[in-house]
Amino acid sequence: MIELNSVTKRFGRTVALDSVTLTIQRGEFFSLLGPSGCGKSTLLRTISGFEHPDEGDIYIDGQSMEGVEANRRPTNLVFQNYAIFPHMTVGQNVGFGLRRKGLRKGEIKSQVNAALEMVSLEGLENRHAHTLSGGQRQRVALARALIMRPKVLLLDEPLSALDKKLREQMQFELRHLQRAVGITFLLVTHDQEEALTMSDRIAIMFNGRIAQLASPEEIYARPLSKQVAEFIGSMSFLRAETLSQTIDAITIRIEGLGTATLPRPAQLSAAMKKNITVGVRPELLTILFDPSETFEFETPGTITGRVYYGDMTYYEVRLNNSSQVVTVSMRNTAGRSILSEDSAVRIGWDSSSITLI
Amino acid sequence: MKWTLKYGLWAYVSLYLIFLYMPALLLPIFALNDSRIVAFPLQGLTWRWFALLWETEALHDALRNSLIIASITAFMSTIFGLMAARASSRYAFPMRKGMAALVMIPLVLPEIIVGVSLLVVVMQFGFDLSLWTIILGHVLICTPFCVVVMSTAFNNFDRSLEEAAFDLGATRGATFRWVSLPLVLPGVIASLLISFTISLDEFIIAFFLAGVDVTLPVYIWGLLRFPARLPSVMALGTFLLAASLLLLISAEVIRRYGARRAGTSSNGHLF
Amino acid sequence: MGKEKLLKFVTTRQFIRTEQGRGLTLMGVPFIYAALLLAAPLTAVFALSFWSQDYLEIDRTFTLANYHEVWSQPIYRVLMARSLGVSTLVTLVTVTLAFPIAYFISFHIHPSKKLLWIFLITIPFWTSYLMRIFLWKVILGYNGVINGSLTRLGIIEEPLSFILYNFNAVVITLSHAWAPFAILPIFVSLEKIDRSLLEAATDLGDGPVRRFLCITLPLALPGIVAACLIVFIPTVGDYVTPRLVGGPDGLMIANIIEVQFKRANNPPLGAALAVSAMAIVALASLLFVRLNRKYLRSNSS
Ligand SMILES: Nc1ncnc2c1ncn2[C@@H]1O[C@H](COP(=O)(O)OP(=O)(O)OP(=O)(O)O)[C@@H](O)[C@H]1O
Ligand SMILES: [Mg+2]
Repeated sequence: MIELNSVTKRFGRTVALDSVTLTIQRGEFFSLLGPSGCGKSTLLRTISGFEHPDEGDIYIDGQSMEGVEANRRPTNLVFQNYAIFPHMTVGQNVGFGLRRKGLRKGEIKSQVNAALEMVSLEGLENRHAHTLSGGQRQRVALARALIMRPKVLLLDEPLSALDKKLREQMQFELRHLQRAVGITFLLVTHDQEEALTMSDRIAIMFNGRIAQLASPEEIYARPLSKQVAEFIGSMSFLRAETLSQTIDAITIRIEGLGTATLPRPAQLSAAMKKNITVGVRPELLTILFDPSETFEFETPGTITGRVYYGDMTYYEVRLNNSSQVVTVSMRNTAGRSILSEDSAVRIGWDSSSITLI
Repeated sequence: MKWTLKYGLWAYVSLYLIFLYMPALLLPIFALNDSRIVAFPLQGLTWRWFALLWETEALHDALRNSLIIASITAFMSTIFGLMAARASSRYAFPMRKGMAALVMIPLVLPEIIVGVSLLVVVMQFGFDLSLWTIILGHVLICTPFCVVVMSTAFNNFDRSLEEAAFDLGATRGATFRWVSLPLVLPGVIASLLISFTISLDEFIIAFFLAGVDVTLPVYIWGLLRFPARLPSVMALGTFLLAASLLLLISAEVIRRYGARRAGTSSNGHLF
Repeated sequence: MGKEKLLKFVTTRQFIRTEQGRGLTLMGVPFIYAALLLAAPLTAVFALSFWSQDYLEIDRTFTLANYHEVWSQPIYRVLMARSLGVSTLVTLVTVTLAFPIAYFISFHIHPSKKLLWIFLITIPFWTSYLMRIFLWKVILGYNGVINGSLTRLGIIEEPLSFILYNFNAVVITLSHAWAPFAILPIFVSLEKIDRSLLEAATDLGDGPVRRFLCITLPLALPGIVAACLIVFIPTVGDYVTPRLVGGPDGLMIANIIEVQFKRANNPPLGAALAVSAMAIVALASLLFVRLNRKYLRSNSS
């Protein structure tokens, strides 16, 4: 559907896109996730035709986009600041593209109404753009782009200007909208939660390069690099040592935690080095409150810090016999007290808690 | 200490305002004073100086010439200002700074120099002096002001609006017509008004480059040598002041209307 | 790219399609206009200043005679010096008088009323420049508002001579004429000052005088410099004021340039005068800006 072949874009000395290659399927909800300045917007603008790649090609539906200007590409962009035309009404904003196409008035009107209904803004077509709230502007921008029936809808951090509550609601609505219209969505975001909840697939970018491209579950469970792992969710990193390895299993000793045998991850073909780093997600560790509780592996530690989140508490636990610290998250269920600092605890884990990086 | 400072400042401002307004206030006073001599004490009320204006053919010709010149100048220099401002705020190209600098130079050149240099060229080529030679000079000195006004207008509006229009399938022309132009319209009007006013008021260049048809300031210059005509000059000045105030107020009304339509909150209100 | 290739490229349609091409095309129109009607004529004036007038013809053999005359004849030197003196003084007076006004509007007026005040300042200037200058003749002149009225009322017998058709009259008149051009840039630079900076200074125990000298004034300096240049440059070349209120001892360089071009019919000499005046103004302005930069740098270190 969309194909990028080693697309490179430079601004003077900065390399905004460094040989990016990726394919986006038809009807997919695809997210581009990365820290500020990593080139997300540049990639979107290159696809929509506002920037021209220095190297590489872009194909949409099998057609090369070289020399095709932004106004003739089958893409539409929802701008980060929405770019609502301030001198027009909502209806004029949404109908702008159709008017430029030269459609009849009545036709435009009915399509505008349908589009507004789709984003639940029925009846607002005569409101002036500057009287709208942030969430409403966002919907107008969405309707204005969707009414053009693009092959790909490009969204540049569309939710970042909204407050948390509205953002969560819009995430939900956006996902539904995408299913309903069946248009390919390419969403840019720096919010990992947004990417995880909405996308079919995620590409993680650092410094103009794609670091990993996979489904949300895959990226979360098996990050390819420390950088990716740190960016998505939180993860404690521990020093470890390879003891032995076979074709499908690896035995490692993790300093302060213990020894475990893990299945060899698919992406790892070469032999493991001796000194390695492993990652542990906080929710895959457990603090054993009850003496009767048992786990595959248990390790003693001391709480050195805690952060209370309401439904969860994050504990920092220093492992006994080691300087290494892990983060453990615990759900604050009924009857479970919040542990104080310096308490001695037992951490329960099993081999599936450990991620090889 | 603080109080004396504050009152001192107010007193100073009042005195300064008297200084600023003194000449302008004298205009209507002597325009209505029933005496050929422009001095106190006053002699009584009359409208005859205004009536005299109404009957002076030469004045009407000069006014018409000035209005023609100012209109064409305003139009041309606003278009130039629009082009230069858009080019330098929107596009990157070699020698941008240098080209813009040349266009802006008349701003830091005494007008007499502009007048003299154009006169030299006109003489060299043996062109006839006409309203057009004045227009050429006026466009030159008005363009920098238009560039400044239009640059603020362009810098104040978000470039992604143009991109949005283009992205929605509009051509470059349509984008300009339906998005850029409406949004910089207040700037265009301001630019038209400013250049119109500058041209209408300009004396030196018109003085150097006028042929048989003179502009209003050149005509007034001629009148100033005749003491007997002074009261009617005062009446003319009063009329011009009233007219330009009216123009200014309507411009402000338009500006505020534009600002409201564009949704940008205008900071500060005139009325 | 070779020159010809570049030229060829520039004239193709593709060129207009590139970003650079669009920018160059847009800027090109006003640029060419300015080049034809400003750069070329200025060059012509420059060339003319090295020629000479031979009755009705222009003799195009190179000569420095005009410049020799301009720089050796006392009359031109006096006029040049007077022009510079007048405009320096006018700049000083205008900017000094304008600063408190700009400060007052920026710091003592409620933001919603500021525009109204700016309007108030500019109203008197919405009448013709000539008329404003002329009104000062009416105010200051022999039979004018001040002298005429005072003698008629029997307060004085002789007209007050210190404001009568002389240097002083020129300075007063020009200071009035350029007042808003000094107030506006200073006001703009004062408006840009972050008010929290001043509050911070007060918090740190700076008195009002110290705060003004150490924070407000340095930050307003760009506006003050702009105001000085905006007033200085055009006033050097002012023609109307000296003619109307200057009397024989108040004439300035612009008046003599005009005489050379029109009545005396010696354009080459007029051109040499114009070029010299321009050079002096440019030099003075550059020097002023340079000094100011130096001051700023020594101040910040
Ligand atoms: N027009 C431009 N000129 C010069 N440099 C640019 C331009 N646009 C982007 N860059 C640079 O390219 C890099 C990538 O920018 P980009 O806007 O794509 O980042 P981003 O991932 O969208 O960041 P953010 O999350 O902050 O929006 C940055 O270093 C930026 O400074
Ligand atoms: Mg971005």
